[in-house]
Amino acid sequence: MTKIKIFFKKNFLFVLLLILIIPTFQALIRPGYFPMHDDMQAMRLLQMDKCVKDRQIPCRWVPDMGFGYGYPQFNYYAPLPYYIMEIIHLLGFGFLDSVKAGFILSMITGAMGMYLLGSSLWGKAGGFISALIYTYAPYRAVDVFVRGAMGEVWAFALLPFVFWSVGKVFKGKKISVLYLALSFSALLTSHNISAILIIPFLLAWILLISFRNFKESPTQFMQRIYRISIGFVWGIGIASFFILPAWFEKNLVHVETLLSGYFNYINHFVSLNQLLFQTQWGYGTSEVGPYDDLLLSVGLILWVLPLISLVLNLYLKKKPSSLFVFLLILFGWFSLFMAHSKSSFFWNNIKILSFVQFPWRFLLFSTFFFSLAAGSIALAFKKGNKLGGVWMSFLIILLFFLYRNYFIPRIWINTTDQEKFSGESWQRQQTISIFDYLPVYAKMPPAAKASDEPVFISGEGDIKSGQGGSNWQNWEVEVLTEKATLQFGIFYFPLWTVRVGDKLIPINYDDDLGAIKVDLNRGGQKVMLRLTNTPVRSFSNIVTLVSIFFIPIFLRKKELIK
Amino acid sequence: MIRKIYPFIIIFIICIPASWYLFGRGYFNMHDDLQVMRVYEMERCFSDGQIPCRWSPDMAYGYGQAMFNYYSAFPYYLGQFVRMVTGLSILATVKTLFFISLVGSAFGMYILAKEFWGKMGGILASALYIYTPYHALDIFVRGALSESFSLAILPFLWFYLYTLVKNPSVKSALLTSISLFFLLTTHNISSMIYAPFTLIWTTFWIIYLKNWKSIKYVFISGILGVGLSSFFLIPAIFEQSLINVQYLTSEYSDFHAHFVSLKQLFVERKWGYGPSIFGPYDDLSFQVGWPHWFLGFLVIGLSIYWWVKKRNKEAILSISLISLFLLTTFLAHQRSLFLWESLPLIKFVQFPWRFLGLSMFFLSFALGAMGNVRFTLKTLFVYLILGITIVLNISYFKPFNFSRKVKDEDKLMGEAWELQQKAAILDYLPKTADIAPPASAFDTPKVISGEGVIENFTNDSNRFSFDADIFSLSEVVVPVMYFPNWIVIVDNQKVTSGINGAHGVISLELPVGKHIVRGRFTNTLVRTVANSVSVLSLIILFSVSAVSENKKYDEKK
Repeated sequence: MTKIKIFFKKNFLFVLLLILIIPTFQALIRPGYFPMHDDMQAMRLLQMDKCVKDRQIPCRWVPDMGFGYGYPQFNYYAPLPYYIMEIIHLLGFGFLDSVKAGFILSMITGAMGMYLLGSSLWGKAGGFISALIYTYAPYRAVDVFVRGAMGEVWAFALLPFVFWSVGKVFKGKKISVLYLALSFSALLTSHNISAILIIPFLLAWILLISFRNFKESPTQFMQRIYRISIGFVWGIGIASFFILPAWFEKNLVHVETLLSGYFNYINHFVSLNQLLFQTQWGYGTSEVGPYDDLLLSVGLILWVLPLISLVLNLYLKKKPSSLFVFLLILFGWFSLFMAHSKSSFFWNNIKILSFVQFPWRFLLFSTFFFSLAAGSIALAFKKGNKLGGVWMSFLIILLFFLYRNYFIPRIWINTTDQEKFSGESWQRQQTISIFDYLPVYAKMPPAAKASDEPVFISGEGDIKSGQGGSNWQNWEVEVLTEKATLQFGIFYFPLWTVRVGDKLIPINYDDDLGAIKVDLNRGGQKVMLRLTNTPVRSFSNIVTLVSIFFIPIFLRKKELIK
Repeated sequence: MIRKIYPFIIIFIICIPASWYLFGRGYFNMHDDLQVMRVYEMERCFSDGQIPCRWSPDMAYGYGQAMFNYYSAFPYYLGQFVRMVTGLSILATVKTLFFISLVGSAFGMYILAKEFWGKMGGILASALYIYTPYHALDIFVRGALSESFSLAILPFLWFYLYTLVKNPSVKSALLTSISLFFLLTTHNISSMIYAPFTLIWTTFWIIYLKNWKSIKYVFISGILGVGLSSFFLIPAIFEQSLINVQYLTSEYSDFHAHFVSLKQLFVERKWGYGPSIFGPYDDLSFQVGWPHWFLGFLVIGLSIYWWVKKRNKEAILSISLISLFLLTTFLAHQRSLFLWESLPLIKFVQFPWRFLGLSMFFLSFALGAMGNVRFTLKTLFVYLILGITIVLNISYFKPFNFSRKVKDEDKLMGEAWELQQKAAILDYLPKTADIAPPASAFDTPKVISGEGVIENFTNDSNRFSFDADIFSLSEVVVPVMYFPNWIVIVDNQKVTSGINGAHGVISLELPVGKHIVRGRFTNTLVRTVANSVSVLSLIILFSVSAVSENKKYDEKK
């Protein structure tokens, strides 16, 4: 009993935080589903489920997308959130419920991470404020309730952990090298583009926090830098099963469609007025010009509070923390700048930025940095100060009052997994954003749904029996003519292989459709299709395995040193 | 701790009989039947992200009205907050707001009167304040939510002003600014009639206590209070030029018709639910209240006694309060006509009997003095008065046509909905509209010249949108009244729009082709400045309190 009491006393703010963030996802706790821009979350989860049940781990090829021809979704699309949701699904939740649980979990994780990070910089009250602002930030509502951007919400959830573990390494905690590796790899496999874009900020941050360290003891400084580098390399190692193929095999899919037309960054810059002052909420899409029906503001509280805090901290002569606050504010404003058209110089000259698609995605970073900086306001009040408590309560009320209503879906649809995955809805799920990861061997998206069974496009024959899974198909075939060509309902992609008996036979896919075709001779035979790894994929899988293998070794070694 | 809270518990219990009909299901008829609508419109603003809320799309027969640009903001923001936290229905929210205003006035009067008359006096004044017939009139007959809130905030403001003058500190300055903020954003007319008396109150104490240092504090907290409320106050004042104000002081709202006779004030006990009419036969009670005014004589006697005993502060305070009571009651009587015709701005008060709110405030405050005398059986005496007050007045705290079956939907659909849409249609009619619309707005934009098809019209609190397929150059009118600054965006480009017809609706020209048309309600310069001033004042308030708190800490060290 007393233990519980002590726990609550010590972690009062943390418990309060967990209670206060409930309204941000309260709307999701009910059966049914809600419309979002990226309506494929449940579908991707279903595909992930098929992979896992089929032991296709890591999952790369998803069988039902591309109008049933399948495509290598998770070779390119960051998979970690879907693994997490798959675990939830395996615990017994339906697909739609698991998706909602995934969103909820990301909110809670993000709040916890920000609490840790904020507390390590500004004390518990500061961590509480940072975490609360971070969770109630308008752009997070946009990500969950308008866009349904599962990858980004997990980037939100994981970013604080990366910064927190970097700070821990500098405090000399050796175990934090592992924390860094794990959080960075999680970020890489949740939202790779954020993980890459955060690196310059992280470097600047490391330089700042190491600066004092360097003056004190250069050898210790070198050791810390060394550990951080280990952490990052290790993290990349763990994530390499995904990031290496995603990068080196990007020419195998129609990636150009992700960068042109509507998705060209040129169309999606945001005006300054919108970034700072817009309060109008909407569920529309991002359009050219400053009249989007979508909230693209970082939020007044988020950018004003850090400025007040900076001025107060300078005035009250709290030098070291002012420096941190100043840098975070700088980062936040730089990120805002990147969403504004004045930054087009960067966008035109840095190739990788075009993969960001929407410049306003930088709101992710400004939200992060401003929330973190805002927590420093707690330093203006002494611990246990009554007036400080009053103002903190006021801030809670203000946040709730101004931003709570953003955390509501447009409408609520009483639907079930069965309804979502059948009839017209199913077809929509199979075909929306069909171009995203269409293999280059398909010149254009298929006009009709893939047939369930292979078809003879020349010659004659019977399909006797057969079955298939996420990345394999087996068919018993009887060919009645001398020669026949059999076409399968699968897009070719390296390295699909076809065996007859146990002999590999050549594959033909050079028409507009790009489906797998093979020539067969007369007679009954067993045809087996398998997706096998390219050298890149094999190599990256091994790197990941080795990196994971290092975890127990590291833990052992750490104990020995102790 | 317990001793401190104890009187508040007693007062809360005293409030319960008065607010009995505000609990549970159901709703009742009141003169200002727009409460449900206003809470609903505020909610629409919040879900569209129109903060601060200014435009209400469903008012004025669905043509929209800039209601909260001019009318009482704070109670409805509070209502929205109540709804967001508790999830109560709109009807329950309205009743909760009335309840908050009632309990608020009780607590406010207690802390104010306690400062001068002690705990017993505080409880007495507070109970008399709640059980004044005019309080029942405001809540159960007129449904004057914002006036009722003003009555609740006034004692707080006076209390904090007094403490600020007596003992200037950042904390009381803060609380003064906040109460002033609440008052100024609650009810313009009340703010206006409270202002001179509040000024007298503050000056009196500055002079009496000779605390000249406090002037600086009073001044700064006053400025900050006005600054905080400027998001509402500045547009409400400076955008008067955008609306037809003559309707606010003519016809039913002309003060000439609403004076009260002596008999009505002191003798008449009949209660009614009708409107206020010319002459002494209103089917509505404007009494000062029993036993309030009898007890007033006791207090006059008491102040003479104190004067003799050289307890000047108490004597002056009680006799001044009684005089102020007489003055404000006089202002409700037709003999004060000469004042009404000569004082500037007073015509906007509309109803002379509105001064009864102030008169009951002064009287109840003065009556608290009885709790400050020491004599045997005082407690018994106080409780006796409490009992008599409740018994004599409780029957007024009862609504008319109370129905337990009414639900939100009943108010927001069909005829009831239309009634609420058209009520107060003249109040804030833009100058660009020549006459108020006589019937519901058309459902969807109309092509009035040229040819075209219009589909998918949506109309929200701060935007509208529709798709147009135009065959020949057309003029299209939108069922939204123009008010600065509505802008129109065609295919992501802002275009110039016009104002059409007697109702002053938005019109635009569309060339041949398919277009996506969107409207946005944006800020005028005045509103932008006003909002910024509010935010800046809040920042200053915060910074000042943080810095002073740190100084205090350093001094202690």
